[in-house]
Amino acid sequence: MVAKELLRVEDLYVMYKTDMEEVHAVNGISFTIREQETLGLVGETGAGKTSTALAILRLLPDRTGRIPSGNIWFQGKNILEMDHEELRRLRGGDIAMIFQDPMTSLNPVIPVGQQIAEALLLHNEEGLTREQIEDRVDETLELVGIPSSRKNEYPHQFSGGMKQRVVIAIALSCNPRLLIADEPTTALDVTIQAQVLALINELKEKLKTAVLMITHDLGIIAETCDKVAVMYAGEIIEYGTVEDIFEADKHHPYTVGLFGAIPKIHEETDRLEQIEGLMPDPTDLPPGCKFHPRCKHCMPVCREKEPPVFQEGDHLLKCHLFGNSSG
Amino acid sequence: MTRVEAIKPKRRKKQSQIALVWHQYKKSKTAMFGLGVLSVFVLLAVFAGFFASPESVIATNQKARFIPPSWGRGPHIFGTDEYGRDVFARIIYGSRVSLSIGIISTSCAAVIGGLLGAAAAYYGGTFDSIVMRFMDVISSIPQILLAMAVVAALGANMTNLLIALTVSSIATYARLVRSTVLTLVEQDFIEAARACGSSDLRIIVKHIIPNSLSPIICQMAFSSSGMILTAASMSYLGLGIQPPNPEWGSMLASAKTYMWTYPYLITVPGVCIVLAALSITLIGDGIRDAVDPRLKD
Repeated sequence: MVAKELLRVEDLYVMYKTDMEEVHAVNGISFTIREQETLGLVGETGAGKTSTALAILRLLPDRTGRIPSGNIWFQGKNILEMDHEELRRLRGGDIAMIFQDPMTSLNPVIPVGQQIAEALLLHNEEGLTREQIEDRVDETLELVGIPSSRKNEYPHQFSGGMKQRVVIAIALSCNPRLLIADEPTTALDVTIQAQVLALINELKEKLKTAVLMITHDLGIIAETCDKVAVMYAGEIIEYGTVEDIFEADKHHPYTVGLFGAIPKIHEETDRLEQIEGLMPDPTDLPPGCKFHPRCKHCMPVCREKEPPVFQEGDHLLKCHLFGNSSG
Repeated sequence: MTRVEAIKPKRRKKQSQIALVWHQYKKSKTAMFGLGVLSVFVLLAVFAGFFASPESVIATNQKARFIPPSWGRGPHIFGTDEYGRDVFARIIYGSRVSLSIGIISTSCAAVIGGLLGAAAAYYGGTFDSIVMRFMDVISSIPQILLAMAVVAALGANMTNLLIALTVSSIATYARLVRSTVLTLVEQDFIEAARACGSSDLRIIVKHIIPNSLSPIICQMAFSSSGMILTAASMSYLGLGIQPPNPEWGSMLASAKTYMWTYPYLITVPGVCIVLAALSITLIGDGIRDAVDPRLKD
């Protein structure tokens, strides 16, 4: 049985407009997340991953961020057409977000317990009393593995990993349908990373939450995700199940490059392979395929025409290499 | 879930925020000293009527001129001045004026300046430029000069002195609050709060104000001692409280003629000014340390 569709992003564009220039951060991406599914959004820094996440919550900076076209459907409603009150209920209630850096995403002058209670109060649709909210706070803290006796402590009294647990507790306190995790482990060291990922995995099962996992770490994708979207210069260039991305024979040259850059434990190499060059400047994107200046398989057509989408089952590829074979 | 119940701790007694701050504040000896001194001044000012009648502060008595201070062993603790008025009575009635000037003008300046600064930071653009350039103009004039100009234009009395002092220190608050709010708005936890569905008002009340409080409180304490000093200087220059009404600054001014012959006339109000200003500064330090949770042990 296929689970119900939860979030559908259709042909979404995001740009940042300042007096000086226009930054094309996201250029026409589409994907769907079904209930209880985990989608990994992977790509280099500046590929538009965070912009996508912010667009879903309509949190792009007021003065510069624009969504010129596209639709974001969440449970049948278009987020881009929601009014203030609907948005307020959506944020934190139905969709919660975990930010990259736990050190700065907690208010330093409020005890952590109160910060969790705050999220509960904001979305108090069941009409819980103060007492019940306090009980919920205790429960949520225990859920993420923090003794509830520490709820009156301030963020600076927690370590980085503990803080990220608190952030996760806040995000999950209102039982969101979708959790957006924006590089939740980047600021943490490897052992804590593993703990936090295991925690997210465990809670996602327990609370039946769908997750949009944003990361640049393919290891995290392999561990946590059902589906993967590889982003490059604001486009999804490859999309498929984890098996498709990690095991299929056909790959986008960029994905191949990403895998080449991971050290392999059983092979001895002096140097890791890298993808030559840098991501194109989002204010001045190249015509045709955006990856062509760095691509080893670059053909004349790549410089002129944007590649069509090649589909094989659920596996989508945006590259001229495969475009020809399927027509 | 059983695990949760098993280790559920007994709920810690919920202390109010004020109780927590007080707990921290008590630890600082200097801050407690400041509070003690200020309390004495405040009590004397509030209960001034028990020590002397308002009329006796102004009424002259030629028979009782220049009685030296008895230091507690006679009727005039701090002696009498050139008109035979009791210095102690004038000091405590004067403290009413000085303290209320310090508190009222500081609060007005903090509220007006704070609102202007916060609005400038929030709306940005042209409004920000206009407000802040206006503040630049105000702060480019020396405080005492600006206050003198206001008093000269409006006339010398208590209300105008308050207006003058308030206007001259609005700029400091506007700039302080603006910069604090600007740095805060960029912080991740503000965005996190927004992602959590907090409304603008809630973000301001719950996140921005508590985080910007400690620099503002600190600034208020320092500037209210500054206000007391400026008010005293204004009165000393004859632009503040007019004689024969008692005020520390004007007492200094009238005593300067007798500086060498009757030094207690100038020492007593001088020491009072110093003590009041010092105690408020110490209190400010103490509050700043107490409200900042990062400084807690």
